[in-house]
Amino acid sequence: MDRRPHTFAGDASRQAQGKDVGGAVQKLVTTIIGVLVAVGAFTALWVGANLVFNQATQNFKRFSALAGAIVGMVVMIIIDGNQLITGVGIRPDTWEWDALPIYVFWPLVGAGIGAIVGLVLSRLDGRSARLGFGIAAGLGIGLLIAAVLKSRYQLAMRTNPLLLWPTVGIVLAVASNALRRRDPLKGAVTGAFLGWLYGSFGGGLQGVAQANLTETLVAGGVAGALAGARIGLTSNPGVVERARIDEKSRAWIFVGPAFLFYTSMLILPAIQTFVLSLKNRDSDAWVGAENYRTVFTDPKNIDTSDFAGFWGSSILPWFIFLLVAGLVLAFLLGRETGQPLNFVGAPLVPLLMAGALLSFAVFTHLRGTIINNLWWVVGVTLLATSLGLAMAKFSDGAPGEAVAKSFVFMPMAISFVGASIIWRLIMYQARNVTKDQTGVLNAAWVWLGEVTTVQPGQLIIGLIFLLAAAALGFAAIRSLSNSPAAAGLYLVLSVFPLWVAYRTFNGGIGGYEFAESGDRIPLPNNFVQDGPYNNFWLMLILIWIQTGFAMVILSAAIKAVPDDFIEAAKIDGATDSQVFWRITVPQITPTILVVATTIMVNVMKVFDIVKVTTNGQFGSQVLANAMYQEAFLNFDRGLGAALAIVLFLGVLPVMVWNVYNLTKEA
Amino acid sequence: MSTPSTGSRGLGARLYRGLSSVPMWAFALVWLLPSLGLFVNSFRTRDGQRGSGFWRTVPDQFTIENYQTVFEANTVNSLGVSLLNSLAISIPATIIPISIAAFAAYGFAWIDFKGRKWLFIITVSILAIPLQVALIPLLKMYVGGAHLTLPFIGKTLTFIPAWGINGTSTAVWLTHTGFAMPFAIFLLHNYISSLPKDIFESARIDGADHFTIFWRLVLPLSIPVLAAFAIFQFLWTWNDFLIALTMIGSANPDALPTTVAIANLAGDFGRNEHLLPAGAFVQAFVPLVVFFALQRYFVRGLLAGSIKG
Repeated sequence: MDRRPHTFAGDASRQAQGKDVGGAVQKLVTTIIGVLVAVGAFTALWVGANLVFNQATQNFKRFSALAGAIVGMVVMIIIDGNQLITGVGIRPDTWEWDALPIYVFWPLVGAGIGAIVGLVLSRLDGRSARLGFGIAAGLGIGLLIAAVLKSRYQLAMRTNPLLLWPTVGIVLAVASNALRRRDPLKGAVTGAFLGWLYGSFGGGLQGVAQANLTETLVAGGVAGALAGARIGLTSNPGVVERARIDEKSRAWIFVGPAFLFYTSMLILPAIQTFVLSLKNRDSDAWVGAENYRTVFTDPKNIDTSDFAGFWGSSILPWFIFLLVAGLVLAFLLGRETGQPLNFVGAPLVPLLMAGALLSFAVFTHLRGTIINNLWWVVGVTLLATSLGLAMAKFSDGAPGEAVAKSFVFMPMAISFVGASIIWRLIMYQARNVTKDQTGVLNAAWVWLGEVTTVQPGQLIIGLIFLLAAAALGFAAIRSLSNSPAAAGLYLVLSVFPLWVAYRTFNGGIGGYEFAESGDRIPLPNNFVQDGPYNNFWLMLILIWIQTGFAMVILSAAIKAVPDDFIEAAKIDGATDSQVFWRITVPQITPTILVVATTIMVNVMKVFDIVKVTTNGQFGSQVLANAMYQEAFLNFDRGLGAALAIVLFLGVLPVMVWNVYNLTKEA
Repeated sequence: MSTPSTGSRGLGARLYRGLSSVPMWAFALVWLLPSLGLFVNSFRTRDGQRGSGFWRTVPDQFTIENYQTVFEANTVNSLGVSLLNSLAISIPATIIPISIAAFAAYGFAWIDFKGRKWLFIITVSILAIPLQVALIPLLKMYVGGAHLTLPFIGKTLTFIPAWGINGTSTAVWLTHTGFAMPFAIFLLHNYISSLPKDIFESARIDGADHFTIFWRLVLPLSIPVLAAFAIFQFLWTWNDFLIALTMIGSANPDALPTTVAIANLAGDFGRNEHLLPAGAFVQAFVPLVVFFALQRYFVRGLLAGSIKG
């Protein structure tokens, strides 16, 4: 685990203090008070905004004055807040209440002027009167702001930008208004205002010797007059228009804050990340797709060198066996239901197992960060969903259902960090061969080795597995008359205990080996560190957490299947498993897909588990941890950003699928 | 589906019924085993934990020293302080998104405005965006503020000044608030948009404006879904590791939440291994209490959030 100081986010002065609980309590109280004040202020603002817009339909004059005051205040906050104009005092370095007037003076002036302008405008109805007042008021305000502008922002105008930008503004605004069938004159004035502002203050020379007050006043006055003219061109809205203003602005009051939050904290940063991913590690030069090339060609991320070993994988024969078994069962089931092949039912079990084994055979021979991520996605999604479905089926209607389900569900409340610690300590711990194993899995593994290498343990354990195989065989015989496919499934499954029994009688199973001297040596398995299967053991932690989620959702879906369907099928003589596979499963397939995609999206981003257990060592690196290491520990922002974008590309299909469904629905 | 299996009768049927819940209990107990082991080990002495598995606990290994040690102020990471830090993150990160998202959910459900459908689709589609794509720029913003340099004229405008809030819990809950928005809106919208249309129409006829309808009708009716989201968000923020690690770092004892604190403890390579069960249990205690006390709401929220997805 990294213990380096976190210079990007950390701060030496903060590290020095702290650790005393009293201070922390005080800090918590301050935080909570601060949050309450912020929430209160925000709510008051929000309620206030609603009340203001209530006035739009009730009392338009008041609304106009209030709206003018707010606009005036906001404009002055922006201008004064960026310290463009001379304040009534000098702002202190740290906050003092005495300095309050310095901060509120200009916003209050703006609010006052805005209120007066708004009130007068709402009382003027004639077009020429409104236009005249608007120009006059705008000119006055423009001159005022220009007059108090700090001297370093005073300007000397230049002809070219002053001609160029208003022309560009007018052309663009007129064109866009013409396209939307709006008044081109209004567009022309708006365009001229924005263009003038950009051309004079942006294109002029500021803070140079030629800069002077006169030209600044001209620039400000013209800009103000144009803005005023644009406002004067509008007429006072009628009743219908007011209702429209109310509805439209209300939508923004309700949706706006959330929109602002997720735009500024998700959408814009995501776009920035994409830009960063095209730059170098310090983001000061463009490198094109270089970072992406690194991501996809670095053997750390995709390593195909060992793929030849795939053909020799010991998993492969099992995969072929299960695949063939699945196809045979599908044929048998198809004969029962009158189709050429039917996969929904018994064949699904060996086929899913075959799929899982194939993915294991592939992923253990293709290595690297991206491969690991794919392995996680396939392994966790498949296992968590099917285990969740199995538990939902087992528990459905059984006595003690609620308690048993809450045991399975409980890991959902435990953090990934906590779960990783639990599994590392309680389940996976591997101790020196001379000591007692304290991890559950190793204790069981070593115990099995100890027992099955001597008599009578070997005999007993072997018989137990033979018995299990026999029970499955018996079940097969019993269901043969009802459904040959089900019988076939039991037979396929009975191969596994048979194989284990065979291994038991041939030298034993479990963690033991014989030294040359003939001594037995315990052979614990280092679950977390021995690659490539350590990936699977890490996945198991996430499966432990996510199964509860799948179980809850699928259990609710199973209970929502109409009882009539099930009763009708039972009356027709269907067995429990036939009801499950032929009625319940088809009914809940959409839910299964939702559960699987939800888990898939979560798995894609897995970070905590790998970070806490191996920190990406021992061939267990995943994208999210690689991204964290590159961006925040190696300070390679370009590569880190590229890894984040690759992660995003991974969930993109799910996003597209969601959008597709939503557009279909709406 | 609660009818017992057909087929055999009498003793066989009873046996079958009894046996039919065996897989369920076996499954449940396997799932419980790791947590149980953690709980048992958290009360064992260092030697006890290192000497044998938790299933071989003997009474004289019992101790509460581990808990005392993890709360002591001068161990590596005092959990007492980090519990408070976690609260300072989770409480604001739960309260603030609820209110903001409730407004938006109402707006999307019951106010007619141009572009509503597409804005909602965008909102829901960003649900799937991995947080990782936002982390680098966000941290940069917390350190240095947000600025925009205007094209052609090279003037820089400041939208957010350089607050330097990186390394504080403020940065963490602010981030959580932004990231929670899409899911919160989605969950609350599912519920609020399914409220009966009649009540809105009659309220409109009586002259109520959107603000009154939201405040007087929708909020009281939405308590169950608000509670569901609150539990969700609380568990998520309490258990979060990535955002806290990015925004605070792992070496800032003043502001570490519990997850980072126990991860640090776990990174000590065995030196403090005997303290880990107690630490992990303390970290999990608050969410477990919330979970068991409010399971019903939690499940409801889970169902509302995914069935329609």
